[in-house]
Amino acid sequence: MRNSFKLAELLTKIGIVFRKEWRDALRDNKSLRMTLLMPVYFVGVFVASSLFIIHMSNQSKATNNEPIKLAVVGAEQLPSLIDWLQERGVQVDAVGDDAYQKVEKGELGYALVIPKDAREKFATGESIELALVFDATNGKLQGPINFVRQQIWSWNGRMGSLRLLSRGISPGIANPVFIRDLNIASDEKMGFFVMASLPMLLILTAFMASVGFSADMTAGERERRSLESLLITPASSTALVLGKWCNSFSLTLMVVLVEVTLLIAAFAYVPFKELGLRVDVSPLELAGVFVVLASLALLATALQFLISLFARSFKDAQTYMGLMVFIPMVPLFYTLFNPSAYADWFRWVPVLGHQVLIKDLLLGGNVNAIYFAQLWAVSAVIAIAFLAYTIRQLRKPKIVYGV
Amino acid sequence: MIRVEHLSKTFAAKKTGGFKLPGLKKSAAPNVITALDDVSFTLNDGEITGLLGLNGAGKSTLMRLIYGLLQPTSGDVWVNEHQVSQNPNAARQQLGVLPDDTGLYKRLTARENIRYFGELQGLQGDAMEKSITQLIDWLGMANIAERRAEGFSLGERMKTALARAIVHQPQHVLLDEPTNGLDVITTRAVRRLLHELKQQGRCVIFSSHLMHEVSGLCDRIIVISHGKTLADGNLEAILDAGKSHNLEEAFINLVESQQELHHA
Repeated sequence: MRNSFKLAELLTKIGIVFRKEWRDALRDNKSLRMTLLMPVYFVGVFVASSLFIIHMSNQSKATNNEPIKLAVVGAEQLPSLIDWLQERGVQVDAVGDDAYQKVEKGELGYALVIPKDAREKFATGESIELALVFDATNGKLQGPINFVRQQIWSWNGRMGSLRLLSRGISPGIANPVFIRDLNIASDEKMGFFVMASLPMLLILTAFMASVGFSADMTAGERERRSLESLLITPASSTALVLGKWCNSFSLTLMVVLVEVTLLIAAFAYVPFKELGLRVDVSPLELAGVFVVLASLALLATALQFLISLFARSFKDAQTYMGLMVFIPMVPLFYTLFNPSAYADWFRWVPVLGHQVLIKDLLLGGNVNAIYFAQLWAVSAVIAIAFLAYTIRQLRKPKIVYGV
Repeated sequence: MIRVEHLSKTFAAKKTGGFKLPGLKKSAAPNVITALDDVSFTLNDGEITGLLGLNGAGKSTLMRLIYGLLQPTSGDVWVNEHQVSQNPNAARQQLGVLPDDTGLYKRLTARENIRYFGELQGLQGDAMEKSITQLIDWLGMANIAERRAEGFSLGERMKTALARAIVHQPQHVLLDEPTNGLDVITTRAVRRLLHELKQQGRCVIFSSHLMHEVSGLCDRIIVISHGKTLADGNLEAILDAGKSHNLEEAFINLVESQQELHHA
């Protein structure tokens, strides 16, 4: 009975402090505007860089998609080669015998000359001399010529292998090595990079959103000399710290909510599909991201309070907070440069675990309710420890008077 | 009633010997500054007590020990039946404190500043609004009540802080240099309020180094210097102890004789 009365009183006091701090924050227009500008800025940077990469990839596709034209003399001599080239997307144009002169005059970029006896030689298994006529000073043609040459070589290899097989010899003898092309187009890689940087932006938002307000409510209040009067009231340290902390926490949640909402809009309107990325991030998955970030906000705001309480002045607090932001940067940078790094214990480490789960939510990885619970449990335990320590220290002379 | 029993407070000096608070005695143990040395007195309800002392005499330290934000090295403070070191929050409920150089919440109006502290003291509803209105009336702050504290003059700040300190109508009122830097009209308003509090049977203690103010207001004067009480009593008793007809002379005599003793 007595305990429930005490709890009710504590909650009333927390509510009083919470309401006052919100009123104070709402009237601090400038700080509030700057805080709300952060998600707009971050999402803006994200959308702008995505659009830039999409634009770049569209441009390179525009040049790639033009079919390669190949003028061929004597196309009828080697129909299987011509078929092979056409299958590979080369547009074959049969031309007359004057191809050499035409290339010389610049009327044709390049031409393939198949000799008249090619059909005969192919049937009997002799080597055929094909001539690729081009002007090496024309750098623009390097790409298509290389492509044609490469295709001819691969046809060559296939034919050779077939001939050896028909004679009962393994093609491996004639081909000690072969190359398999694994083409990772650079555009897609950039797209992946942009998507991988998104968790970093989100985590930074959750870490930084209420930094100014937390410092203002503790170090700032001491600097303005209102802390002492506040501590002389019979309100318990628990009520004061929790009331103020709830303000920072709800503020961070608000900012993160704005950011996630902006991202929902961004995902709806930015054509990420053109990056060749699976970016069908649904609002539900973004809601999951919000839940993850909320647990991070719990921890970040508690840390902000601990740090700014021990700062001697508001300026001091801001310096410490600036350094605090580097804490999440360490694991973020590590994973940015080693994107495939992963171990199960990552999920138990704040920030690192948050990043893994947010990345999985955005890029369609393995997501499980247990992962959420893990992060919430770890974050809550650390946040409670930070807050408990802050509450214990609040009325210490060292904090109030610096002695 | 506030009872102070054998109260002492020492601070560890800063490690480097470069800076020492002037006027503070170094006791036998090195690197220790004695701010308060075995002070005892009892303050009665319905009395205004003035705490008189030079800068750094230990007035603020004494105040801070009474409202429990500093812990005494030895001795204890009682506010009615509550021992401050054991049950600080219960003691604080019966205290109204104006610390020296206190700040307001700039973005709240004067009335909101006062109301916030009323709420933290556990007031609510009509009782609180009545109390706030009464204080605004007494202190003549009607014109600034709905204005934000940003840009308040010193007097306006002080009045708001004073109203904030006593909004819960505490039995005991502690004011650390309440009239410091105030103009004549505001000083008068504060004095009127102190008299009003006394009439209501409350226990008022305020610190000052303004002789005329102390002699005009106080029923009782405590002179402290170097952390010790040099004299304690009504105006006549202090004049006797200081062997003079005017408080300023008496005060200087008291302090100087102690300093001679100290240096001898």
